[in-house]
Amino acid sequence: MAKKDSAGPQVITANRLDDGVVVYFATDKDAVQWVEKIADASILIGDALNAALVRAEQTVAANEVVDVYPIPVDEAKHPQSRREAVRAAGPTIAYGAP
Amino acid sequence: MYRYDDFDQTFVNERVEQFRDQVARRLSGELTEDEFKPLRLMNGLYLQLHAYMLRVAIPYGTLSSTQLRKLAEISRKYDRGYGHFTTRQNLQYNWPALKDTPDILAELATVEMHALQTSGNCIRNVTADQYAGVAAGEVDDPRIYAEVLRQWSSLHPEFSFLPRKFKIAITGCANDRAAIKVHDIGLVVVQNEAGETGFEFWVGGGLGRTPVIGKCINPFVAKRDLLSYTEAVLRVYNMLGRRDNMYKARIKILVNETGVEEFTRLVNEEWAEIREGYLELPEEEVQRIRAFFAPPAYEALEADPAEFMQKLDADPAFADWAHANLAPHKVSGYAIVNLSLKPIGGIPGDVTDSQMEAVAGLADQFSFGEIRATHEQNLTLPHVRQKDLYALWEALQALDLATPNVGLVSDIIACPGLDYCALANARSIPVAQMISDRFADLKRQHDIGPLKIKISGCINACGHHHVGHIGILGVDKKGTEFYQITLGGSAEEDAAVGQILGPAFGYDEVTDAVENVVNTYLELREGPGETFLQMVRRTGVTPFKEALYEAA
Repeated sequence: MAKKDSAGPQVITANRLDDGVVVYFATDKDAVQWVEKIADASILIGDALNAALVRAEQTVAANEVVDVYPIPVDEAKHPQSRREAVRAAGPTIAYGAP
Repeated sequence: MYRYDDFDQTFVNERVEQFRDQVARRLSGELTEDEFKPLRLMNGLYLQLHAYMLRVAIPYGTLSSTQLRKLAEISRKYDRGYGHFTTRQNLQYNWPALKDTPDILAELATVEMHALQTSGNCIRNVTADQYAGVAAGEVDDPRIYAEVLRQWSSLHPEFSFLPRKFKIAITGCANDRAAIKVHDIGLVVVQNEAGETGFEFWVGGGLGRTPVIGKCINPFVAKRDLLSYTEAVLRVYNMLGRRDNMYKARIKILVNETGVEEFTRLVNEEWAEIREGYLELPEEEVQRIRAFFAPPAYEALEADPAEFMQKLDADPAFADWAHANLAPHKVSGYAIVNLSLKPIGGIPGDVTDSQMEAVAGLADQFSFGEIRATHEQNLTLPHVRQKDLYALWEALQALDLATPNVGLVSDIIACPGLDYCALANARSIPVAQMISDRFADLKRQHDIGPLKIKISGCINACGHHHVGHIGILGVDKKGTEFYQITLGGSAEEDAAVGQILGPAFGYDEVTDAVENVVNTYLELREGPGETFLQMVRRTGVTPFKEALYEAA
């Protein structure tokens, strides 16, 4: 079970099992989905975060995603850590064919 | 080149099908991630920052054009149209889907390639001098022995769960291009006074958070004893290497804690038990493998033909490239050609699908269909006629693979860093790009001369920063990237760990700092004949430190 490491607003992230793509947890009452854009993620805090983590972990058991954990974000859903910012936006460099 | 026999091919094919079954069971939930992770790692598949990453082994860095074409095809079909050559002569795909990996491995198997033992606590892909078989002054082709070691170490039941990963590198030359002294075992093919071939055994080298230069524990192990002696080293390590702390689990820690003398005694004791047994390397087997590495059908050519020499005189850009990117070949009239994967401002080691295909074509046309990957993240065409060099150079220019900077300041090693790697603390690639852009002027680069910059994005040191003439280590300080500079390291026969210069620099300052160091060298060197490394060894780091920190 992933632990929350901050009292502020958070989003939940994971990697999709079958292709490894970084995903974020979006919840609307009972509907749960993993979305690719952090902008579409749900901001969670306190009890709502804990409840969402439980549901997110259920999707691990259902073989949808791996490696679920919450990350602190600001109001605009920008991750506070550089690592998560790079993870959300992709490599900071232009890669592949020009 | 070595070709799979039925045994090799069956073994690799079976492993692909085994992994296909494991992936299916993972996707269906029959295997949990905890159960699956060690299985995927045994097949070279990591989960990185953005996606899965597949590390494909290129045994001792030798590739055929057919294999390179397949690598290109896979990158286009299953990935994002590029691959990344690493400091261990592997190729990494950064975006493969788990569900596709069995098909990718099946495609690799069709060209006698795999991703086995590119991860995990086992004996990894054996790396070698990229000039193997063609270098002037080579005692013997190290790939023969690398292949012997590959066969011995593949799925070795005793060494599949070592305390930690285990890396072997081998060179046949006194001039070390394979960084053997920073490997768990480094081998140099040597001859004794009787003219017999054997190996110098360097043990316990390594980088990471505890950089150590290997120690020579035996100056001559006879050819027939290669496997028994290697096995003895591995046995001592497997029995006594620490398993309680992963940061102290590499053989370098064991050698340091035991002491070289005692460690050597333990190896010799173990060796005495096994040296006369089944591990004795039969000469017929060496000859059988040697035949795979037989020289191609070279023509009898005069050295330095007129058409080559005229182009050198007539075209300064070609002469610059020839000066930096060519190496002497052991056969008259031929040259070793280095293809720079470090275009100015580019990503070190990255190559697109179309570049790979084009290089495969050029290898067929000019180099007997053979390509080498270097640990410095470049490619090499090992057998090019000197009279073809100008045509090759023109073709490489069109592909952006002719930057005349091999061994110069912009020929930078950089790990993937925080742009890709789940372990990294800071970015490496954009730092390499900024430095490369700063020194874009090739005339200036040639004036500076040999200078190796190596950048790692964390203490694990995949970018070999400890052994850079200028080493750069990215660290994270309270969420901000900082870069620590070391000077005076070397990965060659004069291997040394660099010395830290002082407090780290911010992302926006590190390029200026590197330029300051280079300018100090240019000011204080005893003339163009004194290289950067020679000067650091003469003066120590003090003048660099003064110029860098006292001005601030």
